[in-house]
Amino acid sequence: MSIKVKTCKTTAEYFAVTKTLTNEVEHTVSIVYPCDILNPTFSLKGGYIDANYLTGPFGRKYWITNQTIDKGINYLHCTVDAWSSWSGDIYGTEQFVTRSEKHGNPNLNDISYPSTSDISSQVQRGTLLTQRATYVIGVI
Amino acid sequence: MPFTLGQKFNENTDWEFTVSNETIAEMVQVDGGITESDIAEYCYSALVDKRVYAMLAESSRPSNDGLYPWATDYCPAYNTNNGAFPSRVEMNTSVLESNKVTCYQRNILTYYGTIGGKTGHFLVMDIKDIKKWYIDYDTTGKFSSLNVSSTEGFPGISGTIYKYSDSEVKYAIVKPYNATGSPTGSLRVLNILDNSGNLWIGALNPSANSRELISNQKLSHAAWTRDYAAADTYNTYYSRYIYQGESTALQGWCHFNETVGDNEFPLSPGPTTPFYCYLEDIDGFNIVRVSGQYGNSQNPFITYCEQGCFFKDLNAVHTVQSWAGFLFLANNTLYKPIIEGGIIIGYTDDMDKTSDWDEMTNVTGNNISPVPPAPSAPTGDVETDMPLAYIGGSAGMVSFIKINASGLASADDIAESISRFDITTIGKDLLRNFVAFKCYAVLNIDDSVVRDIKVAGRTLKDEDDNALQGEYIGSVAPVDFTAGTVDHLYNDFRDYAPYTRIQMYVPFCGWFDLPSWCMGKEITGTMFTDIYNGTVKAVIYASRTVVAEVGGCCAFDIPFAAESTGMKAGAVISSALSTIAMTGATVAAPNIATGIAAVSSAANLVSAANSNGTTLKGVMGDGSNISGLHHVYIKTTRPKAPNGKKNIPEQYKHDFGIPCFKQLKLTAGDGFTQIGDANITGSMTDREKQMIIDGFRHGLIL
Repeated sequence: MSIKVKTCKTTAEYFAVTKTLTNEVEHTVSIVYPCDILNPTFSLKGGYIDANYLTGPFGRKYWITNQTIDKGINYLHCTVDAWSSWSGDIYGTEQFVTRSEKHGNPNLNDISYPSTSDISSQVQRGTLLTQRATYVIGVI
Repeated sequence: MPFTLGQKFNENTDWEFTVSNETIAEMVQVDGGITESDIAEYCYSALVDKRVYAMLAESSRPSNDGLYPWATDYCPAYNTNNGAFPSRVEMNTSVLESNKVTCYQRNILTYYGTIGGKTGHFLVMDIKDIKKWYIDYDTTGKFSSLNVSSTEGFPGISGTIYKYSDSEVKYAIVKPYNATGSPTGSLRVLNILDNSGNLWIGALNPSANSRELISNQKLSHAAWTRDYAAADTYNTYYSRYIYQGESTALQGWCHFNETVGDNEFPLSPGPTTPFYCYLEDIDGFNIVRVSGQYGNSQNPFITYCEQGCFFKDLNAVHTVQSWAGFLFLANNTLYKPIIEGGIIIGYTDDMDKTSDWDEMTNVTGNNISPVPPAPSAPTGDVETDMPLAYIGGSAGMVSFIKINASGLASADDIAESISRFDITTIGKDLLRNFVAFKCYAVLNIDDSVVRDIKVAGRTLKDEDDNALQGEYIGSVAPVDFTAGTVDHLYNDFRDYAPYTRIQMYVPFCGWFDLPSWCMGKEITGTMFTDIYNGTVKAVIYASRTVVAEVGGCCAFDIPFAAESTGMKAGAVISSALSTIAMTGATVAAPNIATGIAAVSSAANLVSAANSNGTTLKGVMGDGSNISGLHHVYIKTTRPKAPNGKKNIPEQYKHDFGIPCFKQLKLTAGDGFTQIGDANITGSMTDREKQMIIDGFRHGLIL
């Protein structure tokens, strides 16, 4: 079965939900059966293509994890990018966030952040409470 | 430094005292409203005596007028005091002009004009002592305008004037928009400010009359204190004051001892054209209406005077300017932000409380707290004054008498005097009536009287039969002290325990720990000395909250003979005390420790000299703290940053995030987001759902 896909490149981090895609090229590829939609393989005529990402099939987005070429056929081995494929189901949801880059509270103790045992000490001097003594007798 | 809405003020860094084009310009930014660049040119402020004062500059003023295009316009002291920032800017006032930012007292800035597509009055204020700025702008039409012309009583003024009035802030404003024509010649600006019952009049002379020179107008020094005003010799400054109220006396250089009521008082010499200001008594007591006229034209410069123009409140401000009538009445709730139609909601109206930033939102509904609040101080334990210790006539009629001060008896005198009483004649040993002889390192005598020293009803006298005198102490008062403020260094969790430790030292009480929430707060204290036993109790405050109470001893007993020893012991004590140089009024604290040793030696001398079994009274041990430090100290111990940089690296936040623990709506651009157990629904496969959940456990970048 032939389908249309777009191969492209992304430099986004693996854990990025939203990825910027470049060099998009549309191809007509064949699905290699049996097909695991989370780890599909697509074949197309030709040699190596300069891409690491693929969109289109099964309504999902895939990392191109490997390419194998045999007898003029390029097999694109893919793995689903789950969080990018389903970003629409992620954004807008309310979650209890334990760590955050933008919304974190810097005053919450972060045991992950290292602290040295080397300390610095600062002394501030305040009011001079006494300069002279007072002599008092008590009589009855 | 840009200042964004909701930013907390750090008194030591956010506000600087130096006036320059950059350093103290502070900005307020609101979504869709005033932008940083809009305000940067206008708002100036300074921290003086822990209060934020604000002033303004008008950036649109022509740059070719040879003047500083900055706040100097409204800050005469800046020009006349070698560039030093005036010390009392808060009382400065100015005229509200279109597209100008104006400063009123009490840290309020207003802006009228169009900013960010919004036209209206903008109000920026710092709630007193809370150091937070709010901005609001009027969308409800409370600000209204009307057109006036010179013929209506506004010499040189025509066009739109603006007024505003509601229950919180009342003022009526006349702006000098097109100040042409009269008044001509020298021009006076007259400010009348009512500060705690005193009305002030100050006047200045601009050098000519033109639009530009109105920009050159210096507001008066009326903000200065009365004493300063009287002493000031600046030749364009004529500050006067009058009283308001029952006394109704008008005093001043030009007008003395007049009563309020249809009076005129030309402020001369000075301008060639006299200026008259009328204070009309409205109710025969303390409501005064101001009106006036310029020159001989008989044109009252203020005819627009509504209810709010009356001087009613002791804390009100009333300003009258000859070229631009300016009436300003603000009652004690002046600080309250205008809420209706505003941009910010959720702040407290209680001036004694700090707004909870987490509850403050802007019109977008977003929480505007840029940094979640640090640990806050517990409630309760509000500062209370320590009681005075009233001594005289109580506690078994023990009289405490300060000696060794100038003109007072010394221990030597007393011992000599007692030795002259013949026990067999008077039938008692006066030494037995001495119940204390102490040296105090801290004794704040609050009330005392110098009189003859009497022991058992007998006046002690010197060899010339002159009565010995001492300072009979009526009461002692607490001593206030300040330790300073522990500043945040990291502005994150490392500023608190267990990472950072704050310790305090109070003389005679030693070192002790302060809790983390003292960070960023001013640490003060009050020490009270118990005159009976020399113990001290120090109560420590962080801001206004009690944070610690410590005790110690600041005195030691000087031994004296308790049994009949006659002249023999007295002489020995006298000799010993002379040895330790106590003949002066007092002994310097650093020598107190030496004094302890010397007095101890004196005790031994007394003991050795009294072969008839004299016992010694007085314990030396409690006073051992006297030999310690005599300043208050705060010691802050912090861990050094692992990478030598104060701030947690942005890359760390991007890679790992920082603790959040909030329920949030996930939005693109939030960056690294870690969720312990994400709740994901959708038509994805179960494995994909698990992959997303696992991704969030690791942390996804939104």
